[in-house]
Amino acid sequence: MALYDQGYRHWDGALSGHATRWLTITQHGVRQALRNKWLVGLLLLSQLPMIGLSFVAYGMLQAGDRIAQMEGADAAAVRMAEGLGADFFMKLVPMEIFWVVVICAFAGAGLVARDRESRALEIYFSRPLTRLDYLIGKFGIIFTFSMFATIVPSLLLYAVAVICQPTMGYLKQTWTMPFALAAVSIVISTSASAVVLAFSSLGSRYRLVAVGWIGFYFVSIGFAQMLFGLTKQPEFTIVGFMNNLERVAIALLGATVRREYDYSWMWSALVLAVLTFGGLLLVLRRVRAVEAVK
Amino acid sequence: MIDVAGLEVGYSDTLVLQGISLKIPEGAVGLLGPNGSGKSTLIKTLLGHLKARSGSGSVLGLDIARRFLDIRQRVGYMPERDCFFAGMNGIASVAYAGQLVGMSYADAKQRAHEVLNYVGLSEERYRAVDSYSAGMLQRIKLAQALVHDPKLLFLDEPTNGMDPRGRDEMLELIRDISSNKGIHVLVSSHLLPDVEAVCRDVVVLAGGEVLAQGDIESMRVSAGGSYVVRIRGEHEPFERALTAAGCTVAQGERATLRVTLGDGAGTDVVWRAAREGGVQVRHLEPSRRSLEDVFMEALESVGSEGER
Repeated sequence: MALYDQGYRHWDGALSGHATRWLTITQHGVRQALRNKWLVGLLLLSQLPMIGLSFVAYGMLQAGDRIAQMEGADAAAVRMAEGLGADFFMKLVPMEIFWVVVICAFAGAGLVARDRESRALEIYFSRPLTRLDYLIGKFGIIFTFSMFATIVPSLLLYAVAVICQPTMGYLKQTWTMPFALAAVSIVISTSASAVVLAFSSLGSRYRLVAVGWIGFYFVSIGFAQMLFGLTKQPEFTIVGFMNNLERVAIALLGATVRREYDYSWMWSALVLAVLTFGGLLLVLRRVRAVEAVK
Repeated sequence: MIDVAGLEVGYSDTLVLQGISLKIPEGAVGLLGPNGSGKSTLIKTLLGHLKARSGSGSVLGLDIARRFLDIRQRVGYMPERDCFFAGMNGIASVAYAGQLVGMSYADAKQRAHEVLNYVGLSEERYRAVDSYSAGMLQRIKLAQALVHDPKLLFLDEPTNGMDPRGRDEMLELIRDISSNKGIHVLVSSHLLPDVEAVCRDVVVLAGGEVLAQGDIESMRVSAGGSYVVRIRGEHEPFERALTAAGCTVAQGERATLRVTLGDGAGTDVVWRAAREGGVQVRHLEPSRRSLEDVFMEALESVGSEGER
């Protein structure tokens, strides 16, 4: 039977508006990525630090019970708020950053690189999509996974801390903590997502991109530690990507400032803002349907 | 369908389209030209991928500079180079292409099955696109271009990398799309037989300029008063009589003569020459050139102008 005899029917269904077109890319990308069992495994592993710290919180709760018996419920709530306060949640942050970096390498490095390698950009931009739609859509994918590795363990750990308390005193003392934890998660996820997308837009081999991203993370930390070790000047730690994330997290959570972070958090925020916006602008520049021919 | 006036487009300091103007009618139209003539650049400009340095244009009545997103919603584009969504199977990748135009997931999925059947990929729909052969990639690009039922299709070198049977099937599909499905088609190709097989009209591009445009049939009929003549009898006296009457005579195919009449002369000159030469005219019809002749003449005319 000739091919054309197999028929072709016209389609007259409704098309959605342009405003949510980026969401199609994000939803599709998230669904597609979750088919990878390794990624699902990494996302689950990223919750391990929270589970470990939950046991610590439970141990502190036992101590809180003894304080309550000896000094009363109010005193116990105050001591709990001190023990399970900003410094306790700050312990989670470096581990969250580590898992975000691993997840970004695994799920983010190929987001633009693979489209460049398979020339899928030509298909994307033959559709009613702008480069901004594409950027937001791709950003949405890696941001979703990064947030899963940050906000979920943070809020679950806080929930464990609250649920295990015998009274509402701890909740009253620390009610701003979930907002601070959410803000930290957003800062980590936004910065990491933007930078890994920038790396992804620079190459077309996603494995190389992943190596480059991991290299950037560890080399920048190593460089920051080396400069701090040599000069004892805390300002030099702003060359470390993780160091800046930690410095801003300390400020947002109100945790104790360690010696190597004894400078204004605004500098770190500025570095992260430059990396984030610079990264996103770079992606916008690199993503085109037509490669320039010279 | 497509209207372009004084369009200049280039990459960095190279001007590719040199102020072209053309009107492309509805139906199946071929965009013909050698490699590097600006065919793909024209299509990419019409889709809003490239900005024109000067000039204007419209596709389906929509301005290419301001309404390129609306154009892309109504147009299906099959790129020249192999391109695909990595890590997806055929169905997922066609459905995703539909969703990117704004189709719901359910609609896009159902439609993907239909168009994959139509382009002849029903058996391979669940295979990873990364593993498709060159011919299959051509078909899936066509399916992705068709999934949202566009009003107009831009097909850039649609038979690239296909084996002879696949090529015939692809051309048959294009013919069906344009003649039976009511979808207008612009086929860009450097392969003359492909354009000749599916298109009614043609635009010939070379060096970023429009060399010729119009209906293929009328372009094939020689404009220079040239005729194909077959006679019974001695050729020589007949040819002598024609030359004396101011005609140019050349050997044609299958023992025919190609006679180009002198300025203002009619076919009566041929009959007179036959009488004088003592031959019988068995066949006389206007000479029809192949599209290749038209194409080559257009290229030569540009070459000779360039030399002057």
